[in-house]
Amino acid sequence: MVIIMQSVIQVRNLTKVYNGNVVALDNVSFEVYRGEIFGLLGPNGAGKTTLIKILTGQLEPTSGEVIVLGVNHKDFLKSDARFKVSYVPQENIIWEHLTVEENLSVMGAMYKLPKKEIKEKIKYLLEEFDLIEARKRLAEKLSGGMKRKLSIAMALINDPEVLILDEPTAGLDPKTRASMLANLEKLRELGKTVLLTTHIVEEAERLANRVAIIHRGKIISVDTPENLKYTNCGREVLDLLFEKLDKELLGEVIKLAGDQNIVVAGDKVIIKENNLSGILDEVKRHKALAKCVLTMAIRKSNLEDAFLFLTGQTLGGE
Amino acid sequence: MVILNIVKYRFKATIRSKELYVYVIGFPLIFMLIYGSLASTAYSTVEPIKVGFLNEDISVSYSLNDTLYEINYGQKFYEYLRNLKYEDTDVNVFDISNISDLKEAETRTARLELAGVIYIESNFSESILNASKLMTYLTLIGPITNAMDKAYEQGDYDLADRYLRALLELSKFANITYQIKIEIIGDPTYSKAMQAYELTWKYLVSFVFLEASEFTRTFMEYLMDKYNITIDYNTSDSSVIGQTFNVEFRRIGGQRGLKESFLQMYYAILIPGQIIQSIMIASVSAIYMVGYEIKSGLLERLKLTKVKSSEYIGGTLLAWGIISLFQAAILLGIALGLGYIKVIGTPLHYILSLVILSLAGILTAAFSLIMVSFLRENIAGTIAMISLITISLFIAGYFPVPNPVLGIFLGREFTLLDLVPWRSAITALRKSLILVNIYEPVDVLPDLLLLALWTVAYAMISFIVFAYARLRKRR
Repeated sequence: MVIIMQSVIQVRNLTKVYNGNVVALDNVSFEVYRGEIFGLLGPNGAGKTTLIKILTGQLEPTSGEVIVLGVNHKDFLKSDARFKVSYVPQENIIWEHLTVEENLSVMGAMYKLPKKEIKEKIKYLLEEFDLIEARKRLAEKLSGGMKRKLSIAMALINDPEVLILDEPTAGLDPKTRASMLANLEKLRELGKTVLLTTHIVEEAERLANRVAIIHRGKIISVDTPENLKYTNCGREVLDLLFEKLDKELLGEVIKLAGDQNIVVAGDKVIIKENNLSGILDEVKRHKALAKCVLTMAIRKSNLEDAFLFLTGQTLGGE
Repeated sequence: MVILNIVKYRFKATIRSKELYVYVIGFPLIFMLIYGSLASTAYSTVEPIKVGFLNEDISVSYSLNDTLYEINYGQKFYEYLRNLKYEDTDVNVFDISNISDLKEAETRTARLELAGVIYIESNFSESILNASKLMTYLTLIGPITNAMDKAYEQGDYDLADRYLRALLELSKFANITYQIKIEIIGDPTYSKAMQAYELTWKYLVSFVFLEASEFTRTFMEYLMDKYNITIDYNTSDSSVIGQTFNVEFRRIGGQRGLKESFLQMYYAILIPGQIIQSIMIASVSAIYMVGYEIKSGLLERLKLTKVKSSEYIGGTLLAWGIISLFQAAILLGIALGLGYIKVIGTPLHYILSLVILSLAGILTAAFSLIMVSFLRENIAGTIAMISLITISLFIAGYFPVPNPVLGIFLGREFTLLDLVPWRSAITALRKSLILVNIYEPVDVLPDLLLLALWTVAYAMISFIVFAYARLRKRR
């Protein structure tokens, strides 16, 4: 069976320079296919929000091209394609003095949907996002998590083909984040194409079919989460956490694992190698290292490790 | 209709916002309660307005049927004004002093001994007589012509000939032109001077109509007697003589600040200014609501929806028109309930007042959109608030500023201050809400039209500017 991947978003050689010298995006290219959740993983300031603003027609790129649903970025805001794209920025975009139901209703009216359809959509979205009980509450009275849910529900009122979410779980407590992730997983089941930006590894790994790692305005790598991990750091990594990592200790670790196979994150050294248990034994036998290591463990690799090996930096920017 | 949805949610958001409530109802209500209760005592009784009368009119004479009529219309106007009384009272409208010359007029008005001096120039009688003749012609031409035609049809050629001769005699009035002008000398910062001016204008029209009617009746009797005919006389329409009046205001004093107590000033001048100021301040809140939508990203988000720029801006402006209507209805209701507005106009006066206030709201919202097009919402709000309060103080006439006449707009003087759009709202509101015993609803129309024109102009500017600055793609 041949599966044809239909491209919904195409980004080609996209560059955005602010004020003539601040490069926010540097020759970025990737594609997002119909029905997939595409994660854009990178630390704050990597250029994710700039990219989203260009994708949604808010910003002009300096050079390059973006095609969303077959429409070039220059024509996007003039075309009907924009009605099939919804986005939720990092801030909650809601009318604070309207109730949950009214927010959804007004957004539906903005898409000029028939009243009956709006009513049905509101009912469905309130149930899906667990907002039924809060439907008569003013948006300003909602918790941060509920506001976020309302923002995303509002973005779905027009049943968009493409949903763009900028850091959808930013600022949420763990419980609300878990509930939000469950909501976002449902979007995949509904066949929506979703592009989400995040700096949270678990989120990208759990939700995204493919992930683009973005760093300092450049796309470093695009692949499935599994492939990104496997290609860049193998299935497992060895963590060595030192009380205080200095140059001498690092030199000793390099002697054992080779400088291509380690990355440093603060006082932690992460090692990728085929023979991790052998290295672990050698560390235990090494007097100087064994004395200074607080913890050492072999664990499954994750996208943070992949990011570290690709960029030499953590997602927190260290 | 998406525009109605925008109006609806903006209205709901406003009435649910505590901050906006303070602007929309809170501040205006506090001002109204404080000043209104002070002013209501000042307005509780009526008293004659002290005016001077300087008559330099030269009498005119004419003869009919060997009777010589010699009339000084200036003197007659003096008698007419002297006998006017406030409605349902025995109190005279004017307490009139005779003034000997212009110097005395200027001195006494400058000292505020008099609200103003009515200055009748030498050709006043000649102008009134000419107006009377023209009105007589316009009134009698129809009946005489009809009667003549009827006589011809009935074969009574002798009668028809007599009507024809009467018609020929009447026709000598056909091409008469005239310009009735009087001058009010006074200090424009003194509310009673303005009151004297408004009343003189009103009563001059009535006076001329009365005199012209009297002349018409006399002349008709003369024609009937002379030519042995009958004329079916109907009362005439005062509009035929109302087009060529000119009551000029000669400014005396007012350069060194206000010269009367605050209480006296308040009712005549400050109330319309105060109400318009409240509407202006409330409508500035459009900046905060639209500013919130800009700041939160809602506006960017709406670009992906089917709502058009015209619908967004139109809905926003219309919303503030309705919010202003809502605000005005509440404030007027409270003011009437508390007895602050004691002169009760017709329902049409109140409808006009609400329309004026609604337009003032739209106008200010358009101004707010222009401000928020280029400035951040908190800066735009502060600057708009300061500028509008300053503007309102000047256009409401709180301070004496030169206000030369630039031209005539629909029979109304168009002054320098009329270039400030809200000025027409204040002048219209004065006529429709406060001076309802002087102005008919129809008199409000020129001001209302001017306000509507300014509103449309500002709405269009706000549309262009806001769409350019806020609704296009950023670089």
